[in-house]
Amino acid sequence: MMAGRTYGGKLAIGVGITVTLTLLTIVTSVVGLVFVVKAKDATIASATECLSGAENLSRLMEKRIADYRAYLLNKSPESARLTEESHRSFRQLLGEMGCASGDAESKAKLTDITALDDKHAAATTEMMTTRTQTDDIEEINRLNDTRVVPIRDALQKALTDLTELVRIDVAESRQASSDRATQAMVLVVSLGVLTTISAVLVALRLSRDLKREVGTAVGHIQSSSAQLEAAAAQQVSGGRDQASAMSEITTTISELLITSRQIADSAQRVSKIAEETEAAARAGDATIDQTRTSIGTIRSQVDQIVQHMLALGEKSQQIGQVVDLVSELAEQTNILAINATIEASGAGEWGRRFAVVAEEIRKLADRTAGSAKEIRALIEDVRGAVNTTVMATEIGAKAVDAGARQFDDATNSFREIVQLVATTNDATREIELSTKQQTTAVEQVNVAASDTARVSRETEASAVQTKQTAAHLSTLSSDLLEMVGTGRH
Amino acid sequence: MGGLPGGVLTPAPAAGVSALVFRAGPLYCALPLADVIETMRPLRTRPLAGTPPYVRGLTILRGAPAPVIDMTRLLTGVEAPIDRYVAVRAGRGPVACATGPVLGVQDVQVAPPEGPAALFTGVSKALIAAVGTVGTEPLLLLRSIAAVPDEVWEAAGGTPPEVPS
Repeated sequence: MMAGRTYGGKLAIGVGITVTLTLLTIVTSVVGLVFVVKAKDATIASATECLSGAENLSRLMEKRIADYRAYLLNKSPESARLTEESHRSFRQLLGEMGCASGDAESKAKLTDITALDDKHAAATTEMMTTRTQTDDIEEINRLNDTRVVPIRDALQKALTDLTELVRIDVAESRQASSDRATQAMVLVVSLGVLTTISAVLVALRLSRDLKREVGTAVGHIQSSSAQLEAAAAQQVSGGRDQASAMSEITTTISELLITSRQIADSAQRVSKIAEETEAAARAGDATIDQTRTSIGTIRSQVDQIVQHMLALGEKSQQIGQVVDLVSELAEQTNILAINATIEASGAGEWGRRFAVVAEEIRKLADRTAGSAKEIRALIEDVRGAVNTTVMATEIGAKAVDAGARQFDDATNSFREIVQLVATTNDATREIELSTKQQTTAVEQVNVAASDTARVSRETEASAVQTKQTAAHLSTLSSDLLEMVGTGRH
Repeated sequence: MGGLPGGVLTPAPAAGVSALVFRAGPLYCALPLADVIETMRPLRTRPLAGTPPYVRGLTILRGAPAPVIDMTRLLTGVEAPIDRYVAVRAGRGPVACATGPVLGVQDVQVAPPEGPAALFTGVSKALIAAVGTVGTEPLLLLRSIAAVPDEVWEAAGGTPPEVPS
């Protein structure tokens, strides 16, 4: 019945059951008391009305008999009147008892008493009438003993039986009321025991559910508190790191701001220099034209030098041919002089003189050959120098041509540079403007970073507070677990 | 033209031997002037098979075949540039000696027979008559050329294939 309900619902159901049983006990007790009271009232009424009525009937019967006897003795009217009055009271009380009595036996007894009373009244009236007519006491006694006394004894016996019957009825009524009271007590005690057992069961169930559900919930709270504490600790650490990082970022952004301002100033100077460079580059076009003319002149001069040097090489070669001829002649002269010396050696004195002359000729030939060799070496040097010069000049001419082409390329590059400088100038202006905007943005970022650093510090403080709260919550959870009797999980 | 250190040779004293001085590789050599016929530029020379290494071959001297002796190879055993041919008188006819530069005619001073020349034996003794000096350099005075093998003289009658000199 309680499955799937909340603990509040369960508590309400348990309390409702207990209250219902308590109310039922109360109602039952009240009803039982009412019945008991009614039974007792009936018993008391029976005891007070019927029993006293029966005894009063006996007393009135005794008084009536006494008055009757007094009339029989003195024949006074007062006694007759008292006798009659007692008879009326007796009949009145007898009639009243007839209404109060409920059972058939009592009614039959009352009917018998009424019939006996009628007979007794008739007998007494007859005796009183007889007494009025006679004064014979003996006769009166005899008649009385034969006519009235048996009826009177029967009437008194009936009254005694009625009294005893009423007593029995009263006792039975009292016993019945006592039985009802006992039944009511048993019922009330049973309901009380049932209510107590129900309350105990509800309390045990609620306690068990309280331990289980509240313990589970508190365990979850404790676990969540631990997780929250750990998360808060991480958040504290993260917030501290974040605050530190934001502080460094703020410092870096401040340095970046200074650098941005320096870059803006540099960009402004670069823009100015680029403008000056563009003006200088445009002024360099005239210089380029003059340089191109000078290069053409150098090229023609180099061509002339090459031609002159080639002519010089040809002349040197002709000189070399002449020198070769001189060398050949000197060598032939040398051989001839030696041979002449050899021939002269066998010709005596004249031969020796001729040998001297031949030796001088050989020396001259040697000197001529040596000079020719030197000239040849000089000519070779000249030719080498000429060739080197021609080659160098041709290389120079080629270098001039290459230089001219390179100069053209340089000119084109220079013009491209002029255009690029103009483009660079525009770009520099854009950079200057962008750098100023960047500086403004960096200032805004610096403010934002400062705010973020402040928020980080606040977050760190909040995380510390959260951590403390989580720890406190964990402690409270432990205390609550101890309170519900579950203990620490 | 090569020459001695200090320039051209100076005439030797009259007491010396009049000889034609030339160079054969690193050596200064001299031939007695009486054995020398003439000097000339190197002539066309034809090699001969089966001859010693110092025989360059045959050449034609004034219309007659003559063997050519490489004096540098004969005296030193190494190769050296050839500048002149010197025609000398040999037993069976003229012989062309292939030499280095010819330095001239002069009287050379040579050592006595018991001097350094006494140390030569074999071929050296047959070639070198005496040893003198030219300045600070030694000078070998050669005997008359007789080192041409007989088979060379016999081959002079034929004409071997021509090679550049």
